[in-house]
Amino acid sequence: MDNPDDILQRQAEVRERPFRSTVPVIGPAIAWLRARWSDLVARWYVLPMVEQQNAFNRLVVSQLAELEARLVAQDRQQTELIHRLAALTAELARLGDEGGEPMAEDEPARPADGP
Amino acid sequence: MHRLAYISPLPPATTGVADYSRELLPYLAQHIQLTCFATGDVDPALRQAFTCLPLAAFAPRRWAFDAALFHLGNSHHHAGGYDLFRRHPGVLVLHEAVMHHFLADHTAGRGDFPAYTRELAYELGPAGADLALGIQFAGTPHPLFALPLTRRLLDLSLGIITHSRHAAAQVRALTDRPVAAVPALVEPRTGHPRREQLGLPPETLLLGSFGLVTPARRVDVVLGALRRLRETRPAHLLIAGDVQPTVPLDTLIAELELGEHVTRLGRVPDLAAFVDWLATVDVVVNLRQPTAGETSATALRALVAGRPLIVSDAGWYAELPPDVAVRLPATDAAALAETLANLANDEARRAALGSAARAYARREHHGERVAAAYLGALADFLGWRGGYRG
Repeated sequence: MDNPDDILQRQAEVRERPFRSTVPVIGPAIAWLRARWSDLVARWYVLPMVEQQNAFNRLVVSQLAELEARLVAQDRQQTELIHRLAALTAELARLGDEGGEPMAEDEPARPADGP
Repeated sequence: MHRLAYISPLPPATTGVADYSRELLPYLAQHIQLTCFATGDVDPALRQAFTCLPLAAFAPRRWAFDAALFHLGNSHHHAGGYDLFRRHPGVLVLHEAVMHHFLADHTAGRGDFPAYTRELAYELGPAGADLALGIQFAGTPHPLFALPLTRRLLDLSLGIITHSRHAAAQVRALTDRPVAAVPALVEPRTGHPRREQLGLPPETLLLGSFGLVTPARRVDVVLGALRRLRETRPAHLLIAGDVQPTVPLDTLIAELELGEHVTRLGRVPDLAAFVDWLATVDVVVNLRQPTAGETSATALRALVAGRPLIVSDAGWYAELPPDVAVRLPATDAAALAETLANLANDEARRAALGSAARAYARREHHGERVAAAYLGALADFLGWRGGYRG
């Protein structure tokens, strides 16, 4: 089973794949020829792009981690605020019971410039 | 008199918490002004006895109450109450200390995997989001029992009520919010044995397994014990409850060649029939491994019905005194078979267990005692000077 912590990190890195051939007997020779051909005509062109892509992926993963941390912090902060609001509501009810009037139901909001 | 918004599934919702609330409400109503909020239809008798409103009616009226009491557990019947609690929390009655099953079903189970990710991340921080990624794409199993997924609920709540010291300790380890252990309530009900419907010889020991058959109920262990027991004496197992698709019950019964010695009732539709079947069996076996920190309504109903009860030696079950219930390791079929054989040969022991069980349930789980404990907890949590105003 994959370690979940590694999934984004691992998948962010683009790697070269070795050439293989399933042809019997001469397969290794075919793979060697393909690798040499690739070295000659494509490697100098593709490798910088792979490195560029990897740099971008690392940046995205790092940004995602930072955003995730912020999202969690905001979620917890919002939850704490909802808790405090509920605590204040209960406190208002208690103070009302001790001498004030019970609070009314929510009224529909009026436009700010309305009558 | 204090005014309480009571938010819970209510009958006819097919969940134990609904039945529980039906039994608790009359006791609470003697001390506090109640308004119930529930999803869907509500039993006409309850509507007649109490003010019952739809869940959506709570938010605009929340100012009119001294407290809101939310009952939450691992059933889809709690979905509406959970959503409401997220926006307007109050005091939380946590019927299970582990809520992962409900939250996984409420989010990923409805196709909203990002919401499940948010819950895992809330619980564990960014590592939770990584875990969600592993669950979604890499075959990591849902850690349903290992991760309670209660942190948000606890953070929101004004206080938490559990139904066992075990669950209270689990919750206290996760939060600074006030926590109280209030015993669960069970009402004595008279059952009418239905043994003649099974056509069993009088000497056959009838075992009962009650409630939804999940992997945690360890029916595999019960069947293994039945197979061993039948080598020395006639015995039969009654299974009353729906079977979750993840439990290969047919295969288990076939492999152990117990087809003729197991009766499956499926879900028993009403409480009266459920109590009748409880009264029918000689011994109730109520194993749980792992436990989600629940207090078993089935076990309580078996106790108050005076049935000899065998439970797992874990969680709330381990709080039952040894003269009230026999506690065993949940996965030991040999020990279960031996205990059943001893009980089968000792009618006096069965009677003593049943008698102690009934007395214990009537003393510890009586409605008056439970209601007083609820109101004491509310007064502590909310700072009601001089306790609750009855």
